[in-house]
Amino acid sequence: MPTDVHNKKYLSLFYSDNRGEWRGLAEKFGVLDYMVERYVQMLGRDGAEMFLSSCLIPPKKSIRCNDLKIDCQRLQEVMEEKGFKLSRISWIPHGLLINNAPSSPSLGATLEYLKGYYYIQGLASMLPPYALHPSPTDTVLDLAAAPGGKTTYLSQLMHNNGLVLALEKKRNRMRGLLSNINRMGATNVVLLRGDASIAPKLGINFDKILLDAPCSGEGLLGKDPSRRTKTTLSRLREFQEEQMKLIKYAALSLKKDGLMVYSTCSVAPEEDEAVIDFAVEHIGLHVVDPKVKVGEPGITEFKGVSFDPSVKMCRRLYPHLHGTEGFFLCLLSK
Amino acid sequence: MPSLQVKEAAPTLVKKTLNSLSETYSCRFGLMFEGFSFFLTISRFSQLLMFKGDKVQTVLSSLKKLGLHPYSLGIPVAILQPHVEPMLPFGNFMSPVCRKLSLEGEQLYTFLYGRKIKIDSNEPIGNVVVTDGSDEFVGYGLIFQDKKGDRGLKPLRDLGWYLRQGG
Repeated sequence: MPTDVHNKKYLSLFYSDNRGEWRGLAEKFGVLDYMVERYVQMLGRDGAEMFLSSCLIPPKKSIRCNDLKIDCQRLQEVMEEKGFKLSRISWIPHGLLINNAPSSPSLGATLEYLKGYYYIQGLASMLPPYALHPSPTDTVLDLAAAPGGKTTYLSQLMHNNGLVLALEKKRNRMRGLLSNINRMGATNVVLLRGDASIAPKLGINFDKILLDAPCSGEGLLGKDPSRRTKTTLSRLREFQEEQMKLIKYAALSLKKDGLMVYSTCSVAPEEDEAVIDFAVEHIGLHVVDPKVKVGEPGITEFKGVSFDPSVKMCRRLYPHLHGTEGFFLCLLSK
Repeated sequence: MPSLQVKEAAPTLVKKTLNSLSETYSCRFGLMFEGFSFFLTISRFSQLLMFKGDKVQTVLSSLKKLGLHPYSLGIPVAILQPHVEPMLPFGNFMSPVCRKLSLEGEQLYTFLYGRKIKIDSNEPIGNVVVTDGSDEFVGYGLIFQDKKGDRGLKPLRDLGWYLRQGG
């Protein structure tokens, strides 16, 4: 199933009709012209300006309470004794937003951090494991596992039962990944270095798969300003091809009726709905309601390309609307 | 720490390793490892690991067919060479049943920086599991006597490692 044949449908997504119309806005916010053009198409001009304005400042920090190790109410009290001000998030049960932090200790240097009571994690990044709803009897595959925030949340939700196979391609990310797994007390993980193409060769029909795909990081413009000019349209297309390959490998490894979450830290439809459309149309996966109480529906048409209507059930998160990093999430079944 | 090979650990090796830890840290493990399978990784140094449940066998056998071995799995128990040393994730199993020393305040933070501290002179020399004021594991240490006859605690492994070298 070569992806290059099928993604012809998506070629027009990578054509920019830019006639300098958006240069002013692009210069104002320090992003590429084609990006503004897309934001306007997705959000309207006012929405695009609000989105880009919200990307000028990093989102508030947040942590995920690790109830394998501590009661979340107790963690909140302990952290507040240290001078942190935290608030609970209605749509993610283990998420705590840091509203105020003391000058010392830093969030990554407290005794509680070392003991694995919490993981410093963006709120939206907590959603994929939560939406996958892993059970203590599942065998779960986590593709592209580093740095381990999602892997350790899977273990947490499974109460350290069942098994998580965490696959990571990059050698230089293994040490940090293992360190996070150990610090957080995730004990049901088998950690493997390797390419996603290994997964279907294993012959294991996974109950659930989490694919947080490598992406342009367009949802992280506030956190990482280098992303504002990093991704050209041709690079975006390369990302899409890689994502289509990954979702194909993931689908081949998923058992019948199994569930998969596909997510990216990008708001680009090229990396999001287009990939899901490909999965529905050419791999035979079905979009399922992830039943998360946050986000906007997926986009069903972009730059003249119509996506399967079911992509509406996917969720998009934006910094100006949800106070999170820009994010995309979709739950699929086989 | 990429493993070259992972295989099921022989029961004699498991027993020998746990006995060694038990002697060094004055532990009474009892039956706390029932339901766990033990594995040995052979790499630059050998390591004993454990995993609860039987799903791991299926995954390891699938990997083996492809000539693959995991980078790590489950709970790292101890490194075996040059001598048996417990790993940080095993500390939560050791702290309830082994000889302990509790630290608080400045002493605790100095220990977590990986530095020696002075302690009460009544503490016998030897290895201890170090806990904090909440009786939770924070590391392993060695109580020693210096030239002046004072007692000190040398960190062997401590949770501060996650910040200093965890990556």
